[in-house]
Amino acid sequence: MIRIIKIFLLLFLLQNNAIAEDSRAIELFKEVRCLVCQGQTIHESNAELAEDLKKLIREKISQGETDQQIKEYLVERYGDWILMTPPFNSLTYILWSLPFLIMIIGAIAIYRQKRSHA
Amino acid sequence: MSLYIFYISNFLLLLCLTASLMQSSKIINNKIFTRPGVMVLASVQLISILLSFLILIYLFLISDFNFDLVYFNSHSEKPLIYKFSGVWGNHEGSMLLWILILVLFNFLFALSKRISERLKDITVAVQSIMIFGFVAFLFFLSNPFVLNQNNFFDGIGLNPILQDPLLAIHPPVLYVGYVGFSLVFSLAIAGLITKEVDQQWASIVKPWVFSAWAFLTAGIALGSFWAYYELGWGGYWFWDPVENASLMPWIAATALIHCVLMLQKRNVMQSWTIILAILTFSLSLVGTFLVRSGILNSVHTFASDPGRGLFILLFIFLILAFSFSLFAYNSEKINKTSSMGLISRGTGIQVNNWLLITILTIVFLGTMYPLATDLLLNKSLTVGPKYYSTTIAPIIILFLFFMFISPRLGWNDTKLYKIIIQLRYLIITSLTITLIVSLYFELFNLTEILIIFFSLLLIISSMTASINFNKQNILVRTNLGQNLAHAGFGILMMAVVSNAVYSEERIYDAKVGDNLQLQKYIFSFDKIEQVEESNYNSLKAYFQMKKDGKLIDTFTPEIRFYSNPPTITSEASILHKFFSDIYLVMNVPQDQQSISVRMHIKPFMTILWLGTLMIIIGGIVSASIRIGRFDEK
Repeated sequence: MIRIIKIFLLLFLLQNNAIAEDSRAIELFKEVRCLVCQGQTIHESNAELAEDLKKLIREKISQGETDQQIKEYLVERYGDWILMTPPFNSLTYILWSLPFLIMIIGAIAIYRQKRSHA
Repeated sequence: MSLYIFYISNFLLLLCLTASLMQSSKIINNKIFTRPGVMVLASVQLISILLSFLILIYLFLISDFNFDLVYFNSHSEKPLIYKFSGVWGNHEGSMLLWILILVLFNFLFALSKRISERLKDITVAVQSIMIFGFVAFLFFLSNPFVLNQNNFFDGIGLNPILQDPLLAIHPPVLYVGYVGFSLVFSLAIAGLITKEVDQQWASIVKPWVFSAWAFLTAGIALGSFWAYYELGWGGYWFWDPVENASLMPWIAATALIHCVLMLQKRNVMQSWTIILAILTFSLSLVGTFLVRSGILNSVHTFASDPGRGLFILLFIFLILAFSFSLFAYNSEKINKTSSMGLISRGTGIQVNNWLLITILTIVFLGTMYPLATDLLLNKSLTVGPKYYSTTIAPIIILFLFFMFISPRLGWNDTKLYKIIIQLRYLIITSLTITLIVSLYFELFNLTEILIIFFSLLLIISSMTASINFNKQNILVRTNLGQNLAHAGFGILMMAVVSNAVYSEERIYDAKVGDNLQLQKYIFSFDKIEQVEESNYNSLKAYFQMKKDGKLIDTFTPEIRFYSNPPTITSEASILHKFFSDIYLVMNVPQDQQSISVRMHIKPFMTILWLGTLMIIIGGIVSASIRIGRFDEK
C-alpha cells in the first residue's frame, strides 16, 4: 500500500515538475527573439530556427541550468539582440533611466512653479 | 482615353498647387492676393483634389492597367471592395487621400464663422503652405497618375494581408486623426503670429482638437483590432514600432486636449499648449511618414525611395524649425501669468500632462533606441513589450490616481482631506471590490492590484459624476464626454491588466480525430478541407468545442494561399464572449500528418474594446457639445 502511495506521489511530483519545466520553458521562449522573423519571439514562431532554439532551451532546462545561465549563453552566442527585453548595461543606461529622470524633473518643476505662485 | 485622364488629373494637381500658393501668400498682410477670397481658393483646392481622387478610384474600379499605380497594386479578379480600398493601399494613393483630408479640413475651417478675419486668414494660409508642400511632393515624387508604355493584361495585386474590410477603413480614419492635428497646428502658428492665444482661441481650437483626437483613437483601435484577429498571435498590441508611431501623437494629443480645456477655462499655460500643438502634429507627420520610409520594417512600408524620405524629412525639419523659432520669438507675448492653488484641478492636469510626457518619452526611447544603437554604435538591441510594461505600469498607477482626483478638486486651492472624506464611500467600495477580486482570483502582484484599484475608483467616480442632481432633484447637465472617456480609460486599463494576467494558451500538434484540452473545454478535431475562393485557396480546419460533453461552438481556423501576389496568411477563428474570447489559430503544416494549433483564452477582450469605444464616444461628445456651448455665449 505504502509502495503504491509512494509511486503515486513520485508520479505526481514528476508530473508537477514537468509542468513547472514546461511553463518555465514557455516563459523563456517569450523572452527570446526569433532570429529570422520580424519582431516575433520564438514562442510565437514556427520557423525552423525558432524550433531549434526551443529544443535547445528545453534541453538546457532539463540539464538544470537556471534562466540566467541560459540567457547568458544565448547572449554570448547571438548578442544582446536575441533578448526581447534589453539587459541593464552600459549600452542601455539611458534607455532604462531617462524615463525616471524625466519624471523627477517634471515633479520638481511643477512643485517649484506652484510654490513661487502661492 | 487613358492619355486624357493622365492630362486631366495632372492638370488638377497643378491647379491645386497654384491655388495653394495664392492662399499661402495671405500669411503676410498683402494687397496682391486679397482677391480671390479665402473661400474661393479653398473651394478650388478641395474640388481639384476631390476630382483627382475620384479619378483614381475610377481607374482602380475599371482596372486601367495603363497606369503604373493600378498595375502594381490591383488585379482584375480582386473583389470590388478591395479594388476600392486598394486606392489607398499603396504609397501614392494614400498620399492623395492624406492630401484630400488636408484640403477638406482647410475647407471646413474656412467655412466656420465667428473667427477674427486675421486669425482665419493666417490659419488657412499656414494650412495651404502644407497643402502646397504635399501636393508638390505628390506631383513630383509620388505621382499616382503615371502611365506605362506596356499593355499589361493584368495587375500584380494588393498585398493579401491588406485585403480586409477593417483595413479598408483603418487608414482613412487614422488619417482624419493625423490630419486633424494639422489644423490645430495651423491655428497654433496663427495664434503665435497674431499673439491671440487666449480663451477665445481655445474655444475655436477645441472642436477640432477633440474630433481629431477621437478619430486618431478610433484609427489606432481599428489597427489594434485588426492585428488581434488577423496576425494570429493572440495579442492586440505588440509595441511594434509602427504601432508606437501612432501612439506617440495620441499621447501628445491627450495632453493637448486637457491643456486646451485649461486654457479655455482659466487662461493659463499658453506656451505649453502651443508646444504640445506643434509636438502633436510633428509626431503625426512622423507617424505617417517614418512608417513609410522603410526604416521601420512592416506591412506599412509601401515604397522606400530615398528621394521621398529625404523630402519628407526636410519638410518635417522645416516645419519644426519654423514653428520653434516663431515660438521662441513670440512666446513671451502670449503668456499671461496667473496663479493656481497647489492642490487644485489645474495641478492635477499639469501632473498628468507630465506623466503623459514621461510615457511619451518611454515609447519614443523604446522605438528609437535600437535604431540609434544600430546606426551609431553598430550594436543591435531588441526592445520588447516587457520594457514598456515594466516602465509604464507604475506611471499608470499615478496617472489613474490623478485622473480620479483632479475632476473632484476645484480650480482653486482645495483641502485634500475634505475631498477624501467626501469620497469615502467610493473609496471603501473600490477597496472592498479589489480585495475580494484579488483574493478570489489569487492576484498578489502589487502593481496589478493597484492598477485595478485605481481603475475601479476612476470608473465608479466618473460614472457617479455623470449622474448629478441639483437641489430640486433635477438632473443637471454634466460633463458627459469627459466622464465617458475617463470611465472608458479605467475600463480599458482594468481589462488590459486582467487580460495580461489571466490569458492562457496551449499549443498542440493535432491530427484529425484528436481531442485537445484548454481549461474546461474540449476541442475535437473534426476534419480538414480545401476550399476554393475567388481570390485565394484555403485550408480550413474544423474543431468542435465541447464543454461537459455538450457542443458549444465550431471553430474554423484557416490558412489562405493567395496567388496575386503569392502570399500565405493565417486566419484565426474567434469566439467572442462577454468575459473572455476563445481564439484558435493554426500554422502552416510542416508535414502532412498533423497541423500545429494554437489555442488561447483571452479574458476581457470584449470589455477592452468596450472601454476603447467609450473613450472614442467621449471624444466625439466633447467635440460636439463644446461647439454648442460656445455658440450659446
